[in-house]
Order: sequence, then structure tokens, then C-alpha cells
Amino acid sequence: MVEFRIFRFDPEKNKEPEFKPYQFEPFKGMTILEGLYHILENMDSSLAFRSSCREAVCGSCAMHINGVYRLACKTQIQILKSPITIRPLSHLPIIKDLVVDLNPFFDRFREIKPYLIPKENPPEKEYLQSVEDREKIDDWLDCILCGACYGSCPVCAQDPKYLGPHALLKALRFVDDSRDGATRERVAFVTQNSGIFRCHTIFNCREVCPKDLDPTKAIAKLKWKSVFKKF
Amino acid sequence: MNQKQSFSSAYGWFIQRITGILLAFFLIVHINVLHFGEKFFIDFNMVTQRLEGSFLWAIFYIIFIPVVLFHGLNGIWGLVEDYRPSQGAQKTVKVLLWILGIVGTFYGILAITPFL
Amino acid sequence: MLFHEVLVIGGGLAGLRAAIEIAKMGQEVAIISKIHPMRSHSGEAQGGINASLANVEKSKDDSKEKHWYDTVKGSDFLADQDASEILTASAPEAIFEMEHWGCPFSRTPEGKIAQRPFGGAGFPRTCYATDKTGLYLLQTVWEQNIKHNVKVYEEWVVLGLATEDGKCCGVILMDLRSGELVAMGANAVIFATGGIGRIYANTTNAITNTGFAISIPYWVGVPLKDMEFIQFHPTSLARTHILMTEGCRGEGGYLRNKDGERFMSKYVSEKVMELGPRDIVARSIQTEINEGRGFPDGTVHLDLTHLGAKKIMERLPGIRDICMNFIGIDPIYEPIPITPGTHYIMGGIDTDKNGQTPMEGFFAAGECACVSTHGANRLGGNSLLETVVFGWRAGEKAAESVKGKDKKAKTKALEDALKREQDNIQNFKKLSGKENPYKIKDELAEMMVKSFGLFRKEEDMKTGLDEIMKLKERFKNIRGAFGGKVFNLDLLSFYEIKANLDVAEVLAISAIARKETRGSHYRTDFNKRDDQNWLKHTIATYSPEGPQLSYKPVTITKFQPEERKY
Ligand SMILES: Cc1cc2nc3c(=O)[nH]c(=O)nc-3n(C[C@H](O)[C@H](O)[C@H](O)COP(=O)(O)OP(=O)(O)OC[C@H]3O[C@@H](n4cnc5c(N)ncnc54)[C@H](O)[C@@H]3O)c2cc1C
Ligand code: FES
Repeated sequence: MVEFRIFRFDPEKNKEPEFKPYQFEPFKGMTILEGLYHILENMDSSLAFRSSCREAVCGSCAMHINGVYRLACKTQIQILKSPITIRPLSHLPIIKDLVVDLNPFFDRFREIKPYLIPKENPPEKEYLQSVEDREKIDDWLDCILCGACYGSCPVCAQDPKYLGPHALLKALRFVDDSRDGATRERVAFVTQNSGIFRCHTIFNCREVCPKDLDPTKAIAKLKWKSVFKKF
Repeated sequence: MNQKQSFSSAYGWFIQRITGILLAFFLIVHINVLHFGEKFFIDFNMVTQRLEGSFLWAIFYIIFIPVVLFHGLNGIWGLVEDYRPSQGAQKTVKVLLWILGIVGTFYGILAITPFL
Repeated sequence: MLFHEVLVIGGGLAGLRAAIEIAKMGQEVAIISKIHPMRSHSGEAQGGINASLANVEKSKDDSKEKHWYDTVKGSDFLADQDASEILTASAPEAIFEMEHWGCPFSRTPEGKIAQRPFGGAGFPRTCYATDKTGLYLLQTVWEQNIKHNVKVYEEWVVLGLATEDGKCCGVILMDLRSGELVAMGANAVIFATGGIGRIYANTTNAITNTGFAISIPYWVGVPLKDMEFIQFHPTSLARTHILMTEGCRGEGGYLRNKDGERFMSKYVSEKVMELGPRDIVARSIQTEINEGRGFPDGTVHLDLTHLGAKKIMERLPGIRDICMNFIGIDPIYEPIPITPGTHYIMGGIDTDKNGQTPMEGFFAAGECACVSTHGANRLGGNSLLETVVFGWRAGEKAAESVKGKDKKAKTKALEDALKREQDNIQNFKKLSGKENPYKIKDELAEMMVKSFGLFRKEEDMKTGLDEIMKLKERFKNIRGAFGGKVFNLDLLSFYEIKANLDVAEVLAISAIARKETRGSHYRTDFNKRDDQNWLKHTIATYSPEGPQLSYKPVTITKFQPEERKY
């Protein structure tokens, strides 16, 4: 038997959020997401949460589970101690239960112009990029925008304008791309007040990232680049 | 993206690292000679004697003073920025910190010059 | 009343690509997606995307025509050859465009886009970006949408289509965040709503890929084409059915039954073994399971243990991660339990080669559409290609079609449709039966695997169809939907389950009618292809009594049907 203690808040009904307990028998290998579906389908159909891929590539299901920001679909029930406390991502407005409003998160992301600004006009075929140049961006590509880093970052909590680990990681992805021609503008942009220098190198983002990315390192790299402008 | 963003915070951050490293050295020397020399409790005579002994000590402090002031005051500035004060407040604090830094450096060096 | 000149439904690759085209052509466009575009199923694709670029040594003789031929042959000659020609001829251009937009493809030593071999292709022509091609492509097209400032309605669900005089004039939406129903007018609507894998229990698809979206146009009279053709992937992880890439076998993994025997030797030559074509391997695995040589949980084992820790960590780290996270097994020490999984639907909304459906003002693209480039069986790497090529074409056509038209919503038709959906929702909330709707969903999905799976047989399928009709009856007796407004997942599920039942019925009736074996449609009672009688597309049209079937000829321009042998 396992107990989920789920953060519940329905803006139509509740003034204050509350934690509701749900007990059921998990099967071997059951994930938190499957547990949530079990509750939705058999116990309480008013529960709200997000999900899509159920294999840790879409970024829908980041939440705060027993004290750590994780993807519900990737977390096994059996590795956690019951009761399992489940809360939504922090410092984002709550829509209902485990569903938060990610607009602030995506707005920061949009600010960094997250698209390739090519150096030169496109050739007839592909831009040539050496294997080494491709390798330079390899570490910054896999972000699924789940928001775990954002939720765990105390700077994001305190400063809603802070670009955040996800956006800064993306910025470096383009800065390091040999095909991108806007390096100088990009670095200048992240050097602004709410940019890289708000990062206090706390390492939370790196600790929680379900894709094992290292935004802290990305930000540190951007800091050096901003000083030496060696791009 | 606004292209006219200045790089001043980048230099601030960088100099903070450099002064940090320098401080590690300066502070070790400074604390060592002051507190672990002949006597644990220091007095004015000891200090003046040492400074008169060699002009290198004077130079040591002339560098030490601006470094420590920059590092400390810039650190405060970092804390202030974290709380996103209004534009006006930011400016005021910045000016205050600069004044504090310049006056402090000037006054400190003034105190050392006699020993040069 | 809200109005956009063109509405794109679906934020996957196909939808995003269409929107870029429309925005580039200066028409006003908005995307509607029930999940954030980056959560779309396209991001799950791993292997790659086909184009005859001839970038690697082994593919230097590759050409568009050979790609075309492979596609048609792979389709078991059911593909419309003019459509496949467009697909393969536009492929290089489409890939270069993705690259110019920043897609981080893996590279050859000369710095060109890297290519790898894939099943059914004569040359290594699958362009890839490590094993995350879908994710990177999705990132790239979404980024371009940000650049073009395309308006996206995230977490808005399409519930119905509004039509006037047989023309599509808008959609009825539910904003999940507020729970409000909204009518939105448009001069053209493009559906790019992806696959329907979730009507099967053993699917590799995302939870969001239900039969709902595809049934919306079906309910208002747009026909569905070739719905009996469903592709099964040989190796999906037990229970969760997460895809275990073909690379596992490519690196030397074995398939074993419960006696530890490498059973593939019984079905293919010793030379091919585990690396036979997808459909054969899938059927072999299923045969073992059906004949009782599988494990008690209905699986066989994909055994990587002999590869050693080093190789697994180096070449298949993603697979290891998935196994550890999802079934708590480390493939270095334990074999992976796998079964075949429902992977892709070749059929879909009937469209011509421009994405135009029989209904004016209504287009479809991507997996939900059946342009019929894949015929009876799709080649790996061709469907990502389809999403970008036909997303692009449908976008272009839709944008052209709305030029010079009145920018005004057809209020009357939209209001009627809105009323209809409001009633629907009220009815769902008013229900007071005893059945748990999710039970019906699960039973349907289990039944589909049994009766309409890898092996099909008249009696099984007939029993299956009966079962569907019974489930439909039971669906009338379900409990009421949750009454809240904000983010009501329960209500959405009611729609989805209802749609799943209807789509399953179409699939069943189409499959029972096709008395031959072709591509993925394998019948034990008619195990030969029959070009004389069945070289034609199945068209299913909605009627209150159930789907009405008719047939449409296959377009053959160059390649005459021949036996499909590899
Ligand atoms: C595990 C896996 C691996 C694959 N690997 C490959 C591969 O290597 N190579 C290859 O070529 N193909 C591959 N495929 C197939 C390919 O990924 C899909 O065919 C393709 O991504 C479909 O894209 P799409 O844009 O049509 O739909 P999707 O990406 O599924 O997008 C559908 C969109 O429609 C929206 N939507 C749905 N219903 C509604 C509604 N009612 N209202 C509003 N919005 C709605 C959703 O929100 C979503 O944004 C793979 C498939 C799977 C399952
Ligand atoms: S459901 Fe996609 S990341 Fe969890």
C-alpha cells in the first residue's frame, strides 16, 4: 500500500490549498505518473495534472515529489518513502492542483531570441559544420523545458525577471553554434541586469535536471565569454 | 534583444574574481603579521615600527586598501541588485557605494603616505 | 467572435511547419494545441528522417528516384505514386531548410548531415541527430514559430468543426484553463493532430495520441482512408511499451523465448536473425508469445547482457536509462522484456496531395492525414519527412485558398456548432450510470490488440467488432463527468473514449472488408496479396448507422506492382 499526499487546489471551490491523501496498491514498476492516472481514473476524477509522452522527453510532468523536483513519469514509486508528498512546481501561479501557469517561464525563454540567426545567407545545400563544432553544442541541446530547474532556483523565486537556467542554457546553445552570427548581441543581452550575473552558482538546476544537463556550467561559460568577448 | 546592453556588470564580476584571489593572499599576510607575530595583542607602536621598517609594507597597504574596498563594496552591490530596487534607488546606492569607496581609498592611502 | 484567416490544429511537427509557411506568405494564422507544442508526440521520434542526400560513402549512388521506389515498394504498392514522388522529391529541400533553421544534425567528417541505414531502404539515407532527431526537429520548427511570432493557443482543445453549406468555417474549442467553450471562425482549417495509437493498449505513442482528433472531421462527414493499416514495432518495452530502438538489435542484441532459445532462426535465415524486416520480426515475436513460448507476462526477452557494460553504456545509454527508470531493470545484468507495440497509423483523414480533404476549407497534414504516401506500410524515417513536406504543402495551399476572402466569421454556423457542443457537455455531465468510462477505454484497447493486432482473422475480427458494439452500448451507461470547469481532464477523457470507440469501429469494419494480406494488414485466412481485387484505398464515411465503406483507385504512375521481397 502506498499513500500519495497530493496538493489540491481548485480555484472554483477552494480558498486555500490542501493536501489530500490517496491510498492504493501499486504494482511493480509503477511510476508516479501511473499512480496519478490510477487516482484520476478510479478514485478522484477531479484531479488535474499534465502529461504526454510518459517517457521523459516531453517535459510535461515536472513536479515536486518528496522534496525533489522530478518528472513524475520517470520516478518509480518503489524508490520513495510512503507517504509520497506531491506538489506543483514552485513560484509559478497555480491553475489547478498540480498544473501551474508556465507563461512566466516561457516568456523568459522567448526573450533570448531562441532561434538561429545565421551568419551568412544559406548555401544551396546544408551549412557545413565540423564534427568538433557540432560537439561544442552537444551538451546544451537536450532541454525539454520541463521547468524543474526554474522551480528549484532560489534566484528565480526571488526575481521574476531573472532569465533563468533554461533560457541561459538555450542562449549558450546558439552562442556556441558555429552557424549562428548573433553571438555578440546574445552575450550582450544575457549580461544585462537580470541575466547571468544574477546566478549565484547554487547548482540546484544541475542537481534536479532530469536530462542531466548542467545549466550552471552553461552560465559560467557565458560569464567568461562576456568578459573576454572571445567568441 | 537589445544590442546596446553594456558590459559593465561583466567587468564588475571579473574584477570581483581577481580581487578575490588577491585578497586571499593579502589577508593571509595581513592577519599573520598582525596577530601571530611577537605578541597576540597589537598596539600602535608595533604597527608604525613595522611600516617604518620597510617601504614595501607601505606599498603592500596601498594596493591592499583599494582591493579590499572594491571587493567588499561590490559584494554589497551584488546583494542590493538581487533585490531589484527601483532605478532611482539603484542609482543612489551605486553613487553612495562609489563615494564610500573613493573616500575610503583616498583616506587610507593618505594615512600610509608618511611611511613611504 | 474570434477569427483567424487560417487555423492550424496541432502543434506537432506538421502543424508548426504549416504555420511557418502561412506566416511567411503573409496570411494571418494561429495554432491551436491541446498541449504546449513542445510536448507534442513528434519530440519522441528517435531514429531520423529520410532524404536521398548521398552524404556518406555507402549512399553515393542514392537518388530521389530510388527513395521513391523504396517508399512505393515498402507500401506494398498501395501508396499513391504521385504523392510518394512529391514526398521523396521534396525531401532534400525540406531537410536543408531544417538545417538552415538550426536543427543540430549529426555530421559526417566533411561536415555534412550524417546518414544511417534504416529498414527497407537501399542506401543509408536516414538523416539523424543522435537518437533524438524528433526532439531537435520539433525544437527547430517551434523556434521558427517564435521568430515569426505565430499566435499559439496552448491547452485549447478542439471539440468540433463548424460547417456551412458543406464548407468548413471554424472550430469549437475548449480552453482547458478556464473551461470555457469558444467558437473560432476561420476561412481554412488545417488538422495536424498526429496519431491515434492510444486506441491500442500496447502503443508506443504518447498518452495524448487518442482517436479523438481524427474523429472530429469524421463526425461531420469527412471520410477516413485506409484505416485498417496499423504499423507494429517489434520491440517495445514490456507493459509501458516505450520504444526500444532497432539499434539494440543492430548492436548485436538477441531475442530469446522462455526456453532461452534464439527463436528468430525459425523464421528467417541464420544470416539475418534478429535483423529481419520490422513486420517479420514483429510477427515472429507474436507467434512465439501466442504459441506459449513467451514468458508468463506475455513477453519475450531482448537480451543485451552478452554485449558487456562498456558497449551498452557507450552505444545505448538511453535504452539503459529507460529500462532502469521504467521497469527497474539494468540491461547490463538482466534481459529486457519486450513485446511488439502499436506504432503508427498509415491511414487517416482522406486528403489529396495538397492536403486538401473532400471538404472545402478543410486540410489535413502529418500522421493524422492519409495522403497515401505510405500505403500499407510505412518505412522508418518517412513519417517525420511526411510531417514537414506535407505540413509545408498544406500550409501553402491553405494560405493561397484564403487570399481575398472575407475576414469575417460565419456567426450563424459557429453558434449552432457551439450550441451542439454545449449540449454534448451537458449530457456528459448529466449521465448517471454506473460504468467507469476508463474501464471501457481499457477494455477496448485490450481488445484491439487481440482482434486487430499483428495477425487478423475473420472470426476474431467479427468478435472484436461485436465487442466494440457492446462497449458502445455500455458507454451510454457511464457515470457523469466531473463538473468543474478548470482543467477538467475527466470531461476531455469522455470525448476521447467516445471517439476511440467510433474510430475503432471504422478500423474494424475496414479491416474485416479487406480480404487479403497487404503490408501491415496480415490475415491468416487470406494470406496473399490480391492486386486483382484489392489494389484500392478503403474510404469510410460517417453515417448514424455506422461507417459506410467505398473504394478509390490507387494512383500508379511509374512502378508496376511486383512481389515485395527483401
Ligand atoms: C516512439 C516513436 C518513435 C518514432 N520515431 C520515428 C522516426 O525515427 N522517424 C520517423 O520518421 N518517424 C518516427 N515516428 C513517427 C513520427 O514521430 C510521427 O508520425 C510524427 O511525429 C507525427 O507528427 P504530427 O505533427 O503529425 O503529430 P504530433 O506530433 O503527434 O502532434 C499532434 C498535435 O496535435 C495536437 N492535438 C491533438 N488533438 C487535438 C485536439 N483535439 N485539439 C487540439 N489539438 C490537438 C496535439 O496537442 C499535438 O500538438 C515515431 C513515432 C513513435 C511513436
Ligand atoms: S510525461 Fe513527458 S516528461 Fe513526463
